[in-house]
Order: sequence, then C-alpha cells, then structure tokens
Amino acid sequence: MIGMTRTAIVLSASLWAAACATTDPCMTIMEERPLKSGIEMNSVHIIDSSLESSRIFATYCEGVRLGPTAQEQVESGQAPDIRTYKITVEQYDSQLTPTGTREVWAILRNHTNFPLMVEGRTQFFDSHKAPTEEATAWQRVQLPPKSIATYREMSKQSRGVDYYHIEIREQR
Amino acid sequence: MKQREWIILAVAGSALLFAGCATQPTYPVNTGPVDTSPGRSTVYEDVGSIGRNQGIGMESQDIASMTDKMVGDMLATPALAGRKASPRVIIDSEYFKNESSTRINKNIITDRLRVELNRAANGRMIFVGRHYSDMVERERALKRDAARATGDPMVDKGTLEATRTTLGGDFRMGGRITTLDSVNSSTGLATRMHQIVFEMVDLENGMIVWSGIYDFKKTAQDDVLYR
Repeated sequence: MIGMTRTAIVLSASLWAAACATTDPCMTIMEERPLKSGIEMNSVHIIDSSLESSRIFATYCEGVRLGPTAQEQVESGQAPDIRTYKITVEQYDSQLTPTGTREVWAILRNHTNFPLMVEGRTQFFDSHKAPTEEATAWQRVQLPPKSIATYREMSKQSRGVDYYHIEIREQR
Repeated sequence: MKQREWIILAVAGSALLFAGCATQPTYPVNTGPVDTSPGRSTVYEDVGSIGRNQGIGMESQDIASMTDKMVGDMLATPALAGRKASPRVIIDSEYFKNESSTRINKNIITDRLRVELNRAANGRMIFVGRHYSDMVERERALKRDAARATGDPMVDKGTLEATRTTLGGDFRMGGRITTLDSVNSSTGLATRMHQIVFEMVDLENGMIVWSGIYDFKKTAQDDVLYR
C-alpha cells in the first residue's frame, strides 16, 4: 500500500507539472493585419486573403495585448508583417480615352504553378473623392501559371473622373 | 497493484491534469474591432457574382459583366460618343440573334445594355425607342386624328412641342450569341464556350462603326436547367 501511495504521489506531481508547463501567462500570436482606414485613391487592393494576406505579431499577457493595437500599428505604418501571396500587382495606372472617359489598368502576376481566375472591379471618384458612378461589374482575368495578365476597365462618365480604386478577388 | 488501485490512480491523475490547467488564461484569437464572421444567410444574391446554382450556360454575372464592359467600351469610342451632334441610337433585340445552345431571353442583354448606356451617356447619345414605336404612333394618332362626333381630336396636344415626324436612327445595334459545345460521355462533363458579338451599324451606309466581343468557357456537370 505504501508503495502504491508513493507511486501515486510521484505520478500525480509529474502530471500536474506537465499540465501546467504551458501556462506561461504571455504568448505571441500572429494576427490578421487589419485594413487601413480610409480609401487609398489610385490604388489596387487585393481583397481576397486567399490571394494575398498579411499577418502581424502580437503579444498577449493574461489576455491583455502588449503595446499598440494592430490597428494602431497599421495606421502608423510600423507593423512588421508576414506576407504570403499568390498574385502581385506589377504595374497600374490610368489614362483618358479620346472621349474623355478614364481607362484604368493593372498588370497582375500569378506566382503559382497553376492557372488562376481572378476578378476585378473599379470604383471611380471625382476631385472631391465622391463616387462618380456605381462600381463596375466584376470582370474576369485569367492568369496563366507564373505569367502576367492585364485587368482593364473604363469609366462611364466623361468629365470629372479623377481617382480610382481597383479591387481584385479570386473567382469562386 | 490491483486493478482497483490502478483505476483510482488513473482517476486521480486525470483530475490533477485538468485541475492543473484550470487557471490557464484564455488567449483571444482576434481581439481587433473587426468582426469577420459571416453575415446572416439570405436568399438574395449579388447579380454580379456567381450564385449557388452554377452551370455551363449564361448566368447573371456573365450578363452584368458583359453589358458593363460593352457600355464602357462604347462610351470610349469617338465614332459613337465623341460626335458633335449626339447620334440617335437604337438598341433592342430585333437584330440581336441567339444562335447558341443556351436558352436565354435576349432582351435581358439588350435591355440592360440600353438602360446602362442611356443612364451613363448623359446626352452624348440619344436613344430611340423603336420597340415602343406602335405606342408612340397610337398616341400621336389620338392627338391628331379627329373624332367622328365632334371633329376635334380625341385628346389634347399635351405639353410637349408637336413634331411632324418621329426620330430616325443613326445607328442600330446588332449582334449574335453563338456557342461551341462538347460533352465527355464517360464523365458526363460538358463544356460550353459562349461568344457574344455586339456591333453598331450606321443606318445610312451600313458601316460597322463599333464592335465588341465577350466570350467565356465553362465546364461542369450539365445538371442545371436554364428556364
């Protein structure tokens, strides 16, 4: 009986210690990088996290985050992030057509070994950064493996289209 | 050790194992202000995105995408949208033919095209409602033709200025939907390539002043009915 008791005590102590070995009150995790507030004009934004995602490190102690919040880090531009991506935006710009409408284009690169089908749409804005028309319909862009393809869109208004914002997502 | 002692030992060990972790702090996975959980489920779907019923035929996202692209392209064409005098344009399904294996009401394409173009043109083009010509002629007749009893027209002139004739068109849209089909008899997979051609024709000399093409190819089990 004494032998059994001693075994039980030793075993219980080791189990308790093993169970509590992971109770470090501080832990560093990777958080999804929040979007920057506001609309960045004349830019291309990949909105699908399956195509591009950024994560930032965050340390929590007893459930409380240490340091600035993820949003604060992003706003201040100080957030060191871990970025994974399947596509990148190689170039983008806009120009006026002969009738005065604005044409935007973005060259996308597929970094995978597989064909990708993505979609893009554009919101056009006037000089006051107010939308001039509804966002365009999603247009498909076929991206061959390791290759580039161009997303192209034209505004419908012919006057006062000064800014644009392009969104890219993966077609489902 | 007897079996009973082993059982006591196992129970005590398990209890300690859980007790040891009872005070472990909970770490939030996402403490940001953004709630990225999905919204409430609904029967409504975005017209411009792929829906839950997907097949190899022409679907809402294809129509939205196609018409939007054509409107932008037409408005960037000087021969149509850059003329000094706004041209009179007729867009309807009269000369827009469906020669494809997809069952579709052509009006869904031409109506959307005309409405989007009319809203966006902002005076750069004038749209003639040829598909409403009988309606216009009937009203004109009521305004002009004398009634038998009184000798006066049936209705008054209205507030708009009377014109001798209705508008004639400068350009009219024509086009064609065609498809290329193939079926794998062993797997049942069907492939359909759609090609939709839009052309704007000068109604005086027959010149095609603008052309647009939209194509797509889909492969799926052909188990969706388009009605």
